Amino acid sequence: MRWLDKTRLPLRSLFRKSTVNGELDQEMRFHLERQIQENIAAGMPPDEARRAASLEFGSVQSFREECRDKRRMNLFNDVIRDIRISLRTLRKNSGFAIVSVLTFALVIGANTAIFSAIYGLLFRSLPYGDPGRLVMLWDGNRHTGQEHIGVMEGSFPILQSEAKSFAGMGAFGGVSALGSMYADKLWGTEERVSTISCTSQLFSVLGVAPFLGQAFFPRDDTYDEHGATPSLSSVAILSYTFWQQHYGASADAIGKTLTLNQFGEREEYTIVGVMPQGFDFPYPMRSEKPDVWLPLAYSNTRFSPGNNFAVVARLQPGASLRRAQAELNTISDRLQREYPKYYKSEYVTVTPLQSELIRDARTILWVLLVALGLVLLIGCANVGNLMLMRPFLARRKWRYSRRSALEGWPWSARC
Amino acid sequence: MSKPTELVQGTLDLLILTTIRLEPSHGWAIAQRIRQVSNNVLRVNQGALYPALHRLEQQGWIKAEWGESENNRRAKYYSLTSAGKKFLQKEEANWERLSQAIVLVLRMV
Repeated sequence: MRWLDKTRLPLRSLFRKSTVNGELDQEMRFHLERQIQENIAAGMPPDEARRAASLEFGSVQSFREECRDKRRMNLFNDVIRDIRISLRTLRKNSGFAIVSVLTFALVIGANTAIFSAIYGLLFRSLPYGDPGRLVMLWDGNRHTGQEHIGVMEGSFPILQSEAKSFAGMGAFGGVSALGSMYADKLWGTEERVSTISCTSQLFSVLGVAPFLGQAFFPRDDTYDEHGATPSLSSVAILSYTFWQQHYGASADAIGKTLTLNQFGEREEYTIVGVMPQGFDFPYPMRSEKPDVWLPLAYSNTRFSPGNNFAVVARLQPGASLRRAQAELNTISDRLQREYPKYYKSEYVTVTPLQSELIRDARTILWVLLVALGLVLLIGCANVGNLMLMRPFLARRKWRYSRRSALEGWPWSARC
Repeated sequence: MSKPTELVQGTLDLLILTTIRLEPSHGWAIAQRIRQVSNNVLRVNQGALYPALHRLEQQGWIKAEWGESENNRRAKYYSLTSAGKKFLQKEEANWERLSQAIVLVLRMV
């Protein structure tokens, strides 16, 4: 393997310059000493011997300098030379150069732009406190084979109070946890108001609190089966933009009434809080940014079997995902025994919130990535074709000029 | 003593490689040996020897190792690499052919 032997010295000079220089000195000194010894043995007096030996040594000095410089400069010189040659070639074929540069610019520019947009959209860091510990809980049913469905409404309070791996748990949703938000309207108008219902702990789990007023109370989370509690369905928290647009960004919005047209019914809500600017949970998991958050309540007397809660939770500082999952398994085993009618084949899973955001887009992302890669390849192939075409183009030019020299003016543009 | 003959670069390489083939030696020993074996006709001085050694090392024909010399001083010993051995064989055959050809031409005149 000659290349191995060949690269040994240059690599050594590159990485251990001082030792290589020092070694050369040592080698020279050794040779000098032996030469002096030889001279003395041949009968020369000592200083004569030394002088004679040093005479030869002088010519080696220049070699040493040359060696050192050559080692350093060789690589550098080669690179410079290659760059100069390529620049000269490009200048001679300026048309080709321009087209290639434009092709690459277009391809690389387009790729970068598209990828940055997608990346920014999907991989953005969640703007909630310590997003690494935010997780979502999903149910699954072994009997029907369903996965990633909403948590069963009746199981939520039990999970919330008994799962110790979580520092807090909040739910949002409503009739269909995975569906789009309600299309409520402002009462008396056709203006759409996007609302989402959530439990009281959701805001604290996310680590964001209303900057005006307050969040929902725990009592807002439950309703008595035999008669709605007074606070149910009648408090609301506004988003910043909604507050700006409809209440003139004034602090006296708190306590005012918001009247909504919900499925044709007139519903009145008392405004108790406003969220800070930029807070738009559960966007982008839901298709719209919410204008109003309403309370989400579960029955405190009856076990409701609907899978309509989307649950967000925060892991305890010491807990790992695996430990949380194990705990959830224990609790769902228990629930299976206690509520065999509803919970027979049900189980609960936990996944990081970050992966939820890109869940649906994952395939699209891969397809896009491959497509962009292909575009890049096409660009390279185009430039490659141009390079192959060059000699043919040049020959055509020459043929043109020959023709015109022979046939004279006017020369028709026939090829 | 006759004037030492001037050595062409390629020839010097050949001499060095042949000397090293017998046994690994340091620069001084190589020069000595060449002088001795050629009956003092071929005298290689430092200014030619070390550049040649450096060049041969760069081309990968020889490799160097530090060792202890006869008088217990540190010296750099050069030895042939396997590629160097092959190269030497080829060059010896070439040299043989070349010198025979030159002799023929000289005799012809």
